[in-house]
Amino acid sequence: MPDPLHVTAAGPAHDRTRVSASDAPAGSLEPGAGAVCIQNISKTYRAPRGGTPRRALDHLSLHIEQGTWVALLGPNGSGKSTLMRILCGMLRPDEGGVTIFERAIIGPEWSRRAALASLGVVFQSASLDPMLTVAENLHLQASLFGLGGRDRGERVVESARRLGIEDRLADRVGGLSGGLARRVDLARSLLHGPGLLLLDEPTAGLDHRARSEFLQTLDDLKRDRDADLTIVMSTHLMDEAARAERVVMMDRGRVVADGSPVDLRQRLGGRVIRCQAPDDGRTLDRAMSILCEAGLDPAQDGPLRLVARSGAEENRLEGAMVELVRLGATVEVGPPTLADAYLDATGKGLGEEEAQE
Amino acid sequence: MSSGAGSIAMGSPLAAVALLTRRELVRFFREPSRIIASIGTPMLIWILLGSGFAGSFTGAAGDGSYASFLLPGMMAMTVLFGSIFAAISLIEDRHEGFAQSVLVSPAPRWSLIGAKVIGTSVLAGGQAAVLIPAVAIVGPMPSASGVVLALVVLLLIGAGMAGLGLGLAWVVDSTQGFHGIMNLVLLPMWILSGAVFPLSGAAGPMRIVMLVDPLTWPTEALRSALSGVPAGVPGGDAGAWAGAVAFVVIGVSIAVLGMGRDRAVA
Repeated sequence: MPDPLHVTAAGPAHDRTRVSASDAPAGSLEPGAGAVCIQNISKTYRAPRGGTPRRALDHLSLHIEQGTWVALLGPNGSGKSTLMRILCGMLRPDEGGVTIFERAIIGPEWSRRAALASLGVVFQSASLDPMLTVAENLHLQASLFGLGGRDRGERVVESARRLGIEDRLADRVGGLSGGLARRVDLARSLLHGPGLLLLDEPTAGLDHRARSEFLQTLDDLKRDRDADLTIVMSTHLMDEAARAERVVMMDRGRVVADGSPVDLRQRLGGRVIRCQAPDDGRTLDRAMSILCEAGLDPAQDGPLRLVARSGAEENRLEGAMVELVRLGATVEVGPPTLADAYLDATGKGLGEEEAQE
Repeated sequence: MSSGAGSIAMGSPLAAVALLTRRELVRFFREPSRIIASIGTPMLIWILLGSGFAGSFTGAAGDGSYASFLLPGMMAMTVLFGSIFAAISLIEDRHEGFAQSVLVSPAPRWSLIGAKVIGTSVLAGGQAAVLIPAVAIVGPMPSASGVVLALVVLLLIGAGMAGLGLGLAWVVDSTQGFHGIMNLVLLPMWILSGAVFPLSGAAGPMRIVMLVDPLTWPTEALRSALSGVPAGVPGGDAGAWAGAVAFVVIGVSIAVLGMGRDRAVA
């Protein structure tokens, strides 16, 4: 029995509504805008009765050029997911504007739909119907983007092949592993050839192996498929952010650092000393005072951490290290990481996951 | 290959509604328990109540038996159950993330609601229509035009109930919460619609409450179509049909309003 979702096309290609940048009112275009242009957006969530309103985004501006892979890095509550929801038109900012390929995502319906047509979105959990097969999900999604007939079938097969799921097309999504479902979700988001791929913590809930495979798929995608594809991925994991060409560090709804992973590390200069003192307040206080007495200014958020920026600081540190080791602390010396850069910018860490870098 | 620059394609809204409606049908036929529950429960209640109260309601339900009076009410109940399943499926779509994939596509947001309303109307109306042959068992066979009118009014009840259920489902975060609303709003609405006791026999205040219930009017239109007896609401059959159409408008409006209030698309 033919599958009802397979045999019916969404309609021939000529049925589709075609919109081009030239159709847009001139006043709504931003000359010289890149893939994403975020201008001074703020968002405050109303609090439940008696609570304090929470400002998720605070006058944030960002410009993302076409073809770049950008990681939005920050811990939970830094505003990443709010920003992602605004970028895909699911949330309206209190003020400011966002354009995707020069089309306002928050604006008239025609503009919003035109912006969405150039977007592929992968959320924290798979946006698939578990009762339908992989092929049915992909066909349905393709149809929502106006793909029909042979073109739709070819896109589904090509997308499935690229993501290595062509042998699972007849399987119901509900029976797939988490890693496979994420790959189907990625295939879904790429079906219509989007210019911008938004990934909102796409590896959340995946085991280590599935996470590595997903990230490798993204690497391959960016390298092999389309140099013009712009990727914006939110994450709180250092190793994921380090794969991007540009890392935008966020804290309390603001951009606190922005640059390539290499640049962000190099801005810290010399070496970083990470000191893990025994887990009791007294020892930690003693370690702090040793470093302060040595004229150093450690940051503390989890482990004690210190960036030695000059030869003089390194010399003072070496003296302090002897005492720290004697105190029972574990001391590591190494080049700065993105976690160190985040700590340097915000005075706090990203959480225990940062150790995965 | 990317559509970042130049022209882009967007599907037609009707094609999106058609595909999403087809999805509703596919999901329904992959859940046999849903089919059995939707038809079996009203059928069972009809048999139990129809036979159990047969003596008690003699005369009060018009010229026919209580079982024949009750049957249109059971059809309305079948549609009610169908709309409840649709509302729960919307909550599941939101939790499982499927709704997000529609909301971030260029398909208009109302296409998801439109598909749910049409899918539910067809499915629930179809399930209720299975009970139509039972009319001939407990009373005179309805005319061909009566059957056609009954099918139409079942579709209208399905659309209105689906809209109402979906509107509530947009603002409820869990299926447990929706069950509470179902017990508080939807079931009393069905009971007061003249489905189990006749409007004509209701005392003054109760009659007013029943007339305010928007489900009363299409239920009366359904009973009239199947029995040939004029509807007992003000305006007779014309009033009942106008009320049925108004019920759809109210239900779909509530669904659209509910979608607008949803925090995910605020």
